[in-house]
Amino acid sequence: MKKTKASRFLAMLLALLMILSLAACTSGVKQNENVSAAESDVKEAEASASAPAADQNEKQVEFEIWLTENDLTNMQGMGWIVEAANAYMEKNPNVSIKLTCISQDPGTYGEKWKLGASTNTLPDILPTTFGYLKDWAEAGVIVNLADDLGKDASFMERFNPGAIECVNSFCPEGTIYGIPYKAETFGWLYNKNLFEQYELEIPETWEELLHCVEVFKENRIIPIAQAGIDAWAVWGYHPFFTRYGLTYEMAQQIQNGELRYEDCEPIVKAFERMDELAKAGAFNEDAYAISHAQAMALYTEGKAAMYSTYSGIVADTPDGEDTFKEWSAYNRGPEFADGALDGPSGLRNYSWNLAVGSVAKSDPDRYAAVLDFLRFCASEEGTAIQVSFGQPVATKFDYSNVALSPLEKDIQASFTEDYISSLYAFSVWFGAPYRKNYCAVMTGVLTQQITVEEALATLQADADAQH
Amino acid sequence: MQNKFDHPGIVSRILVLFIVILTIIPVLWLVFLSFKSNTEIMLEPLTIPKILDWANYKYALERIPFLNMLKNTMFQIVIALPLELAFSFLAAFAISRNRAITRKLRGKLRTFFVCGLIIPSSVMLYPIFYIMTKIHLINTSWSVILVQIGWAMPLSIMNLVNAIDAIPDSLEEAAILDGSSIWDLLFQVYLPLIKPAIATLAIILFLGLWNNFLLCKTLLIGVETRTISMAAVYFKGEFSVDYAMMAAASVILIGPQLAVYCAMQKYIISGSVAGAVKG
Repeated sequence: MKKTKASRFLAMLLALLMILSLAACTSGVKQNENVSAAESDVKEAEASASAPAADQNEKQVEFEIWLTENDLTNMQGMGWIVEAANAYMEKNPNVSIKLTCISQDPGTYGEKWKLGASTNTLPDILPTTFGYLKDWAEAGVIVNLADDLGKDASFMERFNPGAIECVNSFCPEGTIYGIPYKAETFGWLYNKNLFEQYELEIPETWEELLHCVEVFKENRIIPIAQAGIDAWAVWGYHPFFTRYGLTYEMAQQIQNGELRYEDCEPIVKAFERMDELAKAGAFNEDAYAISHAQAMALYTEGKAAMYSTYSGIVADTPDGEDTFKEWSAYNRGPEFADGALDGPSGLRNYSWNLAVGSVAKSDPDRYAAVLDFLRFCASEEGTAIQVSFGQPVATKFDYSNVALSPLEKDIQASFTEDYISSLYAFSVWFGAPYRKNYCAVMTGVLTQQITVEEALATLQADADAQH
Repeated sequence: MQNKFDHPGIVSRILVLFIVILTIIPVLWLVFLSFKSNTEIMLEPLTIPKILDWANYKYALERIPFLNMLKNTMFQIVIALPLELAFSFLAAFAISRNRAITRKLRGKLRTFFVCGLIIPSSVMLYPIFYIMTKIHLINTSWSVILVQIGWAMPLSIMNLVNAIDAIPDSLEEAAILDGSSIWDLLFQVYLPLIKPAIATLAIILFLGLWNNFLLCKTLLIGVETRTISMAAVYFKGEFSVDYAMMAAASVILIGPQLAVYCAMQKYIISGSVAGAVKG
């Protein structure tokens, strides 16, 4: 009898808990909305609906942007979109922009992008990288903006030369699937304090770089910090290939089986320079075992004098960890006396862009608002917002009145200086099956885990597998 | 009568000590990391922290929307756990005691459910995501709850079938002779007898829900629906990982699990051996 009562009591308790949870769920959604709204400053639907300036006849429109951020309170790189959304909503009270933070972790946000694309649930606006555009364009999950924005001369003129072409380089001819917003250069960071201490000049040539390596080694300072675990941390070495004259045509020949890697002089020479640097003892001894974060820490802690990097890393460094911006110099990396180009060269890149999910086209008003927001982002006002977040931009901007750290000034100069520029990291010229091991073999040579011959053989094996 | 397990030899003791150390070292290392700065972690990852700096814990709690995550997690647990237990208990009873089906068919049914354990959860993620999108449950706790209930079934049913099988048939026959209905059998005979197994299962399912990272990462898109298992990822950025914060967040997250485990470990052990010897 006692047990029966206990069982009944337990069943009642569980049922009650379930009912309570259901109730909590309903109210919980509202509370959650409040939490995110409080975090963001972004005026959500309620705010825009209650705005006094709203035209009663104007249709209320809402669209969504996915941000690669963890939340709206601690942003790395996409704070400008939040600011731009706020500014835009203030001007257009009938528009409400929902900002969804999907994660800063590349693995997590990459997965959400892919899942969203495969189910055609990508948001109205998606900041993404150019590698995804071709597949999504073919799948029809993003919108071709060539007719709606590409024919708008005032819009197109706002962008740096080649920026739109670079972002859309893998998409079909004449299409525009991504609107670039972030400019990138690949180069090197130099600890000016250490260079001054040992009376060294910031190296511009290969010979000067080797001399600096020798001096730092003699003084027990790691000349160049290098990460081996994160194979992609080889930004500063990508321009080596261009400097030795690698062209898009050569890349095509390799992919067609008409040219072998060991016969491609620019690639062989670039790998030999990396090998030479490693053999000169330029890197930390544990390079093969440390991550980018650890290598970067060696540099920011003053234990290493140089670090290969790209402008995005510098721009997106969180506040508090960015003191190196004050004592660092930046350039595009060493030039080679036996290089194939007629002048100094470097690598500018435009990868991050704003793509429009096909869901936006479900409602003409919503689509019009999305296009208008893209125009606003590229406008002088939108660009100024982005610049205020310390980000190099893909649109034209006068920096004369902007306060920049010494490092940011150097980086900005690398966007405007006159030099022979390649728009891409060389590996981008190759199709995915060919380029899958590029960074890994470059890291392998730099950390002396493999020889130049082994690196070339690995790349050739990838190419042979496709023929 | 004493057996050899009452007085283990020196080799056994050393072996046990070795396994204990091997298990504790990663946890201890995590705790050490949680007191270090990122620079200290990068440059001296294996050393003991020079000072016990609680700043990482303070900042981790400030940065993570801990209460919101906890609320989302508890909501999932409160809904999913009782349903998982109820469904698996009823299914296990049917498989183990249904006289209408043959012994052979019963065996096949059991195998069918056990097969669920063999399929890796990661291969089911895309279909699940697709279905949840189509039924408009994506980015809601309900998507996780529904899937989690299904995912937990094979393990739960297997455990409870074993526990019910261990109960002698004569007990059931006696209850039926006394006029018990099927519900009386379920709730007055079987349920009290397999309580340890259910308690064990409840703890295992609780830990599974608390640590449910893969499913939550896939189905929950926005920040407002995130659960506690996703807190550590908060400190992983595009090119950098805040290891110090991540370690502090992980220590905070494993605290409740350790507490539950310590409080309930006698049930886990007794439940896991229940059914080992058929009575």
